Amino acid sequence: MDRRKFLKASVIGTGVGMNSLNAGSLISGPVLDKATPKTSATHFGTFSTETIGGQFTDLKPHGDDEFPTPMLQAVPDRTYTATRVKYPYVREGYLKNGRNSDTSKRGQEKFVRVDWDTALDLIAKELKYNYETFGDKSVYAGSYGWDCVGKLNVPATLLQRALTLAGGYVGKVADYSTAAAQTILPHVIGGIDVYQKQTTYPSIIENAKNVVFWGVDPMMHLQVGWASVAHEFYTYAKQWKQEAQKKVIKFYSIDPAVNDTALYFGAKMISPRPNTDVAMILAMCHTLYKSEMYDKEFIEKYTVGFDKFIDYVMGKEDGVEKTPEWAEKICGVEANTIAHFAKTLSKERTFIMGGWAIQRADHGEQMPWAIVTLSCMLGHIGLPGGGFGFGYHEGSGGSPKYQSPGLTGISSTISADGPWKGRTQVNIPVARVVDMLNNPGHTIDFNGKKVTYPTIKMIYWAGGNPFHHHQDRNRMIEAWKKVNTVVVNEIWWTATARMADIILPAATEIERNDIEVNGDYSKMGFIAMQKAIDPVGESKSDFDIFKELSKRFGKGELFTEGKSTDIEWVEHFYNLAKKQAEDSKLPVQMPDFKTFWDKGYIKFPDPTEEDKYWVKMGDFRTNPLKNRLGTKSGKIEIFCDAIDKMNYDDCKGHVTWFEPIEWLGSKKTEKYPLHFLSPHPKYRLHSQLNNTWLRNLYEIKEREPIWINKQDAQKRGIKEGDVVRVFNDRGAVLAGAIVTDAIMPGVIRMYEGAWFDPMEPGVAGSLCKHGDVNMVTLDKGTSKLAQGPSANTALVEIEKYRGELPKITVFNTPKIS
Amino acid sequence: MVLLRSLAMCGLLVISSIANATSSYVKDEAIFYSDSSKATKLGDLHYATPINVEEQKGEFSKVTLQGWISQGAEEVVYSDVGVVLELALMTKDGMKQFKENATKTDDYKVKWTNITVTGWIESKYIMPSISQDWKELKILFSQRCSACHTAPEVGHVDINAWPSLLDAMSERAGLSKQEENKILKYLQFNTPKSH
Repeated sequence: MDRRKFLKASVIGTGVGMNSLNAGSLISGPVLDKATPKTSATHFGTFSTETIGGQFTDLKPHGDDEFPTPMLQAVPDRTYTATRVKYPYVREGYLKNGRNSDTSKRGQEKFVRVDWDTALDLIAKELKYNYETFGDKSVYAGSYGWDCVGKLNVPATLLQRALTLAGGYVGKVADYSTAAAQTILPHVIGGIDVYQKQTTYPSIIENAKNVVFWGVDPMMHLQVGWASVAHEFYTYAKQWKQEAQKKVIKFYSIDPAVNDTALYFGAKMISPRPNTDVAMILAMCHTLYKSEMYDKEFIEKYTVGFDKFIDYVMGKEDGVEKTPEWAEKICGVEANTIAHFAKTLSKERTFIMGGWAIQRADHGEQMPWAIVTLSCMLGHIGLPGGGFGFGYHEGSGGSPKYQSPGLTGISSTISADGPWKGRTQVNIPVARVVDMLNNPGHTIDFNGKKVTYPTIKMIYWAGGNPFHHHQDRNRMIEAWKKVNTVVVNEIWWTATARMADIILPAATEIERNDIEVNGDYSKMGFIAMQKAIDPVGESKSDFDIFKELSKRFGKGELFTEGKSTDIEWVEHFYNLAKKQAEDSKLPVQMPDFKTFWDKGYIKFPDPTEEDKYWVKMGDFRTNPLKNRLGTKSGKIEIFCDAIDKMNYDDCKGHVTWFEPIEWLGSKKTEKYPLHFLSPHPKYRLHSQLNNTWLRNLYEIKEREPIWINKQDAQKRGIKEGDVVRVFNDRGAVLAGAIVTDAIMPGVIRMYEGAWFDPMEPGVAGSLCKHGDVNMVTLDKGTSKLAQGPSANTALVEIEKYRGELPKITVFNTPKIS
Repeated sequence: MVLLRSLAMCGLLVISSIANATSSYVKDEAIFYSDSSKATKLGDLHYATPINVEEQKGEFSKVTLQGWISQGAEEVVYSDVGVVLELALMTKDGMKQFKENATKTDDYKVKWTNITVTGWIESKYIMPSISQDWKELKILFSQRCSACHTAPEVGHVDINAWPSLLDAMSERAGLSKQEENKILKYLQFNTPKSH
């Protein structure tokens, strides 16, 4: 914020914010007033703060983090950006007309600053109105998002806790990351795998001769994590590369683009057309079967239904033999390459790491199943460094676990008796939220069950930015108009905040106390997240916000359970963990809470040798009868009766090649010839940090970059650095062109998470000036099985943008009075 | 009929094969002995396993367990054919005491045998009712498993998939091994069988 704007802002509200010293204020303390460094944690890592005169000015990565991400350096900036929401606001028309306001004015009208009581009273009144008039299933609080770390301040959980007390809510099931995989894999291998303990890196580094990164780029993804990220993967990656110089380890990357992991390991690239990898795997299975190079004993002893699957592969089911030549026509990879690849993998110990992008696509359930099926034929499952895993995509999965107790957190459940006990909870597949708003009363299939969409009248979102993460932005803008009230807790003026009626300012991690685990999988320590500065402006922690809201329903005590400050909860969580460590006789003496808190950190003893070399399904391989998998059969289900009996036309009893609704082999390419992919960003966590100086390092003419192959660029007269318009029938977005051979022809790639900045806010069909990928993505369930998102199934065209470059406005404060 | 349906909805039909026997349940983990002098260990009876109490002698009770064993892994006693709900883990001596009743072959050609086995456990490991435990575990489950996401429904996954799912999640949820084990039993005994 520049000084003039600040001076203007600080006058508003008759100096309400002036009594707290924060950097939104020029009256911060003397620069020689350095506070003792505090420890804190974020999705970007653990650090200690430097505060000068009450302002958060710098940070130092934690000593246990050998490879801190540069993203961490943007954390002070995000604290004070011009896009920070500092006060409660209400949309002008909503303040005037309440629930009868013109909802098509969302995103257009200015916001009016109100005090906390006014905002909270208004929310309580509207909740009561909707509950009384339309019932407890009229308020949606599925509230998906990645906001912050901490075991107490979990915004969506606190929201659901408060609304349980207030009168109920409609929730969500699964997540945007892994819905397809986590729904199908329990049927196939008896576990979700995506968030489960994985065969460890030490085991893979020592034993795997072939390593396949299938649509996964850990080098990029693992910079961030769900807990406070500890970057363990990078240490292993270094060892791995050294090991690969001593003996032969062959790395393969199956990806339309040369990603950072492939670059680092010098992986051999195989680039099938997007969404056609299943056809390629079917042909690999065909090769292994025909050449009898598959592990018959493994198939016999550890799997069920291979014969039915192979009937399909050999064309007995549909008259089409899934030969490499057949697959070549679909996936574009030469038949010889496919066959050779299959045979190579069968000869030596192979490990396949499956990514999540490949299942965020139409029929996304098929890819995890295909990788499992192929791995069964290779027969290395359950052997050191062999098999497959879908948990290497997040939080350094595959890092051995330190000898630590579990750390619990706040819950949405109220244990005391009350009306909530008699309520039936309705949860909607997370990515069907817009479909739900559009089709109240409609029933959909979901994993063998039926789900009926309730009629939603009010949305409350906390800790997430659906106007970033949900597909098909224009469809969403229309759907949002159907509800009478939208409330959000937000730290920043995200697109979601701008599309809301009531906005409550939320605080960041360093403005409150909390506790977090260091390392999602390694759990190497606990971090005391110590409050380092006062909340910026009038912002509050989500815990305090929902505590205040609960009071308006006479439920403040039930909400806090008698622990009304954050530090009381943190102590409670810590002591539960300490007790667990004692009860389970872990070789660690956890100090009392105060000692831990003052020190800021506790590190746990190193992993045991057993944990260090743990192999997934190792016990199953040793004795499959005693160590049954969690499937119906107790074995790996290459053919799954349970799925077959659901009788779905879009997910059958075995891995099947289904033509995606949009792909490079479709007739639709006549109009939209390029396949559009939207992977994780390299220097953001989804949309987080886009509002910091970091964007100056990667943006092109202030637009989100897009990768385009040289041939495709040349055909369209596009040069490196040009601003381009990416479009299809769903919408259009501007981007900055990177012309490169690192992406295969016919495919373009743009990181998700650039903030939505429409030419005409609130108007469906308006061009996004800045780079929101979801202007052109598809809002369709993966299949009746998982109903997951299909973000990576989209065809587009791209052209050089010749108009006058519109000014980016989303990083300014919106119109406020 | 109404009762049957509600039993089915509670998932209690899972244990219907022991319909006329069970009136008690194992509390915590109980060592199963051949007699009240603890001479020979027959196995471990798991938490919540339904048992029929035959007689009591001092601090010990004679109990009968009924369940299913699968060919090739006879030491594990399961609640039903193809259901990975472990009731007991037997020793070699324990397996010798099996009284074999009926046999069945499942859809995957595995032969299962219904067995009963009688032995002794310390009476303190017997509880006449389990409904209070289920009530408490329901709360513990929904509390600990709704910290990061909405707590899943009991029928969220197949009864067989719960051990793996819970194993994956228990550390994130801060559950001790004992809590995890009890929640697992709560979920499995209450999962509708038809899922």
